[in-house]
Amino acid sequence: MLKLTGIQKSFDGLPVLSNLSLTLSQGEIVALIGPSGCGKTTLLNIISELTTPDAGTVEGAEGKLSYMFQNARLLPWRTVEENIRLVREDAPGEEVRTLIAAVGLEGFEHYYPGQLSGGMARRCALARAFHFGGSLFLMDEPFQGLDYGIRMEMVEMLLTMWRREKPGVLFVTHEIDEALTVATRIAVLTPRPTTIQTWYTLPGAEGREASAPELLDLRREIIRQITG
Amino acid sequence: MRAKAGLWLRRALGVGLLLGAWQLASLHFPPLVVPPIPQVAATLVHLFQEPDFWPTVGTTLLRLAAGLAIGIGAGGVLGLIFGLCPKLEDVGTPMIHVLQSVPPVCWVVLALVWFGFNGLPCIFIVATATVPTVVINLSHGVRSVDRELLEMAKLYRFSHWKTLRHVTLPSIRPYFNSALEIVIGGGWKLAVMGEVLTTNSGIGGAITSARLNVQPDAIIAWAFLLVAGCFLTQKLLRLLCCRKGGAVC
Repeated sequence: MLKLTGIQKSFDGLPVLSNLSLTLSQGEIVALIGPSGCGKTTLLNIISELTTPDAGTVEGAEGKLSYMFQNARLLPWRTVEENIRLVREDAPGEEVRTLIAAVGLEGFEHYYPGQLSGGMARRCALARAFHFGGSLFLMDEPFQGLDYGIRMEMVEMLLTMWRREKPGVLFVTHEIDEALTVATRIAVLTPRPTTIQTWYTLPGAEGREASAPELLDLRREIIRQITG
Repeated sequence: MRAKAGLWLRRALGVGLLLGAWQLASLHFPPLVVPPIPQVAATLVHLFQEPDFWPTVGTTLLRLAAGLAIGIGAGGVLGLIFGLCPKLEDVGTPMIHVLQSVPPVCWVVLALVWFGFNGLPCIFIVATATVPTVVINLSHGVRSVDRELLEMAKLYRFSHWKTLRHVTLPSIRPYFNSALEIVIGGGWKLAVMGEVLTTNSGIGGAITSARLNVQPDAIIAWAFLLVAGCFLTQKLLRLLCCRKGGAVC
């Protein structure tokens, strides 16, 4: 469904992405783990056509795609409900309210982003992404900087919403536990110039416990890969 | 609450100092040079009671509103266009410089030749002074719209119109508000100056007749009313422009 082939990108002569290829099928959650500054955001920007690659092709991203950025990017002058509704205005109001309830923002519909905490703003952004819909979801460290409890809660929300429509999800993170919990496959990236170092396919169903015994070896292996 | 009381106390002190200096000056100079406060207060009350007081104020207000509406309308459209399209801004910059640096008195004289003694020159100078301020503020505002929000709008497939309505226009609101505050303050002064130089109606006309009749108390009374008018219009504007949620004020 999404196929990247030989993606290359440099910024001012600094090579960031080098011959990076990957595929993502409908219903898969692929987590990309890599050191910070390795070009993960650039990769998502290339897929969403915010950035053009120097070489390589992107196939299957022409349709509707949702992108959840590192920061919530809500319109400060619109309420929670309006921010969500705006991305698909023809949808019935009931749908928006159901989503607001699903991300635990019931009672905050008429709050402005400036009145929300960071975690609430990201939950709103998550609801917005799901309201927009589409068969491909790009998520750029969506839960970074949130405390552990809220992060795990949001991961659970993501999975709940993902199970409804089963879109393909490309999930960028540097939290191994987050990746182990949600992903169907994990790609570990090399430092800059970045390409995919190793692929891991995860056992069992997504939503698993990151500290489960069968994942311990895998966890250790990924840490070894990242720390070189 | 206490901070607010302190603020009002300091403001009252400022006004008191001003009135004190005036009172002192009026003790040392003849009333024809510095009319005493009670005399000006009496003239002010008298002005209100005159039958043509409201028509006089109304005439000036109409001219001010017309000049501001034309200036804000034209400046708003140009500011948006220049902000969205820097190449067109390059073309328009010399025009804005001309409008900005030619003194209003030059425009008044030219406008007298073009329009005659009918109040239009007054509207014209308010408009010419308004345009550059609005254009410069808005074009800067458009260029400083948060790129991340624009990317969000692009990804969620907002149309150009929807992006303008929901992202660009609300983002430039603070720039627009500060431009409005500046042009309203300047507009009052220019409208009255234009009236003094080109008509015998409106507040400017009343000031001219006070000058001809050597009534400095009337001139000061009108000046008071101008300060009050400017203050009230700016307050009204702030009231209209402040939004719930404190996002944009």
